[in-house]
Amino acid sequence: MKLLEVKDLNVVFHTILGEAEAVRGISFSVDRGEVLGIVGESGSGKSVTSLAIMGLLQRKKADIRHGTILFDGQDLLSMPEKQLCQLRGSRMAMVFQEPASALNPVIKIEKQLSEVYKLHEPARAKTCHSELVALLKRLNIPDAEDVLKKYPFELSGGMKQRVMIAMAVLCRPDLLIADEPTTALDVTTQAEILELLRLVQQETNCAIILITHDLGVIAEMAQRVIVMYRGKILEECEAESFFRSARHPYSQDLLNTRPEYFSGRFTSIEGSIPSAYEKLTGCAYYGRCRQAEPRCAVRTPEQIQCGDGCVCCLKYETGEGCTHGG
Amino acid sequence: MSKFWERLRAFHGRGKLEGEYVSVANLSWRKFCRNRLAVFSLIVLVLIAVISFLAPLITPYSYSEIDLTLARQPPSPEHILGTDEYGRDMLTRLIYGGRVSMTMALAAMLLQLVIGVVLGCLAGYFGSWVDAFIMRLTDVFMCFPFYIMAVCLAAIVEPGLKNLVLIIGFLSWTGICRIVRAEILSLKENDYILAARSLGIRPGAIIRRHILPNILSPILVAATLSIAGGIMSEASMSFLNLGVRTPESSWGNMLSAAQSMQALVSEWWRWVPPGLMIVIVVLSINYVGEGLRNALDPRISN
Repeated sequence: MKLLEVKDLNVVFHTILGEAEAVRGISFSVDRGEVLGIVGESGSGKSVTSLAIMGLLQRKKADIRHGTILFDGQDLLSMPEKQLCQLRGSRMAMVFQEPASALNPVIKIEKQLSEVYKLHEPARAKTCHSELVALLKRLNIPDAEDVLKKYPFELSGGMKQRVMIAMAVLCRPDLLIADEPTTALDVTTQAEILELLRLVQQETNCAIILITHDLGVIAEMAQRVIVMYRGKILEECEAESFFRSARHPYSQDLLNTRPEYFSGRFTSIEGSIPSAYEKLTGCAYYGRCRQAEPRCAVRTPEQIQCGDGCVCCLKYETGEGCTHGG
Repeated sequence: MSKFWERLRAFHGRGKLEGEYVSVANLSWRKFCRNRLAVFSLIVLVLIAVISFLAPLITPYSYSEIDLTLARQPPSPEHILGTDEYGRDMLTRLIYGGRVSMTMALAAMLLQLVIGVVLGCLAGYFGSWVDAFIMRLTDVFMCFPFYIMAVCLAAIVEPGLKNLVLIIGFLSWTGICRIVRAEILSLKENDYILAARSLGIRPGAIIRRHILPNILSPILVAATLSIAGGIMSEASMSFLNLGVRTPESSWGNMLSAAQSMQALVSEWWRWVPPGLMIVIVVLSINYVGEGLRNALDPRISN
């Protein structure tokens, strides 16, 4: 059984401006111990997907139209809040983008960390001090004893993110969702944080969903890649074949924007992502796609099994070009 | 006098090297100490409070013993503030009155705080119909004039110490409730609340352990200022004979007792001291509240 199975998930936000379809029927799964990377521009529905999995979408504003999310065989969407609370933090956890705002400014680090124990393993809460010190040391925090006594604002961004990771992996979750864990950090710290995530993954054998803009991070960490655009999965494949032979025109364009291809001017994809309020007919990428054909404007492409993954483009309808390296 | 301030400042900076980390409470206290008016008010308040609460040890007379032979005496060495129409020592009654007024204001403040904070938290955190219901409830409470409601209620239940506390508490929690709700509305959008939820912490624990510590300072300021309001309400209600009743003394009913042409024209010692005390205490509390507000607001630095 897969650890996490998302089937045909659809999330709609009701706003003053109308309905915004943030996630439009996506399906994917995560195996135990697997690192899955999700890439895509801002507004492609990456974060909403992760919040939906955690059950953290505000129920008044966000409406999960249809779809199921199975975690270890249990349906998360129909689960009562109380049971969800027990799952969160112990079996699935999340690392946020902004470590500066994800820690409570008026509570000391030790109290924030030990609260997780109090909640999920009350028996260990009383004696957790030495465990916390050991964990922080494991996460390369020097003078861990000292850090535990501090308030979040006394720590640097990288330190705070380490504390966030510590908080997330305290109860050894099976699934860790990292929503752009390195975006707010500087480059050297980014590398260290990624190294830590890899360490955590190897030691606890948890699955990680890694959400990022940064293809470098994907190359570094992920085994499988999902490319999202306007709430849809355009392509899903092994990380290796993604970098070698991405199939979807959007994936190809994304790869072309990498700084490796710098030639006096960075390449960019023309235009911008269609607003979530627009009702789309045809392919979401139509309008920016350089390989677009007239039929792309009217027919919505289905997901097609293609090589080691699947792709969502009319070009591959006939099965042509789906062989490896094609 | 300026030496005093220097010493005070030196005392609070004691033992701290420059640049060393200073706790928020310590920092706020230092900021508070720079506000001379606030510190002076605080000292006045503490002094009045200490004197009032030690009343039985300080005053040689009884506040309730009637001796008509001594009625309406002007200030003299035996009776520093004179006597009232029943021959009771005015200074004694003033001190006991302060005790009653301030205890009542404190109790009423606690009651408002409990109601206001609980309802404000519920409204702010849960939103939707809970919020709508509680906010309409506060609207209803706020659109009735306080004294009309208070007089009606006091007439229905028996006027008296305990009932007056309940009436003031139940009628004036709306301000604190709105402050708490507004603070929570902006606070709950923070990532650390989302992070707390992602760790499986339940709403009750999030409110208690993650939200309340963050909004302690506006609550503290509102609570301080509501004590001043409480003293005023108590005085007014007692003045209308719907609050503390004789022989029990309070500043309000002392004023009420001096409500005759004769007293106003020729017996100033019967109404000036209680009136002055109300003014001093309410002003001091307001200055302390103002000082607290400035000291606890990180955007204001002085």
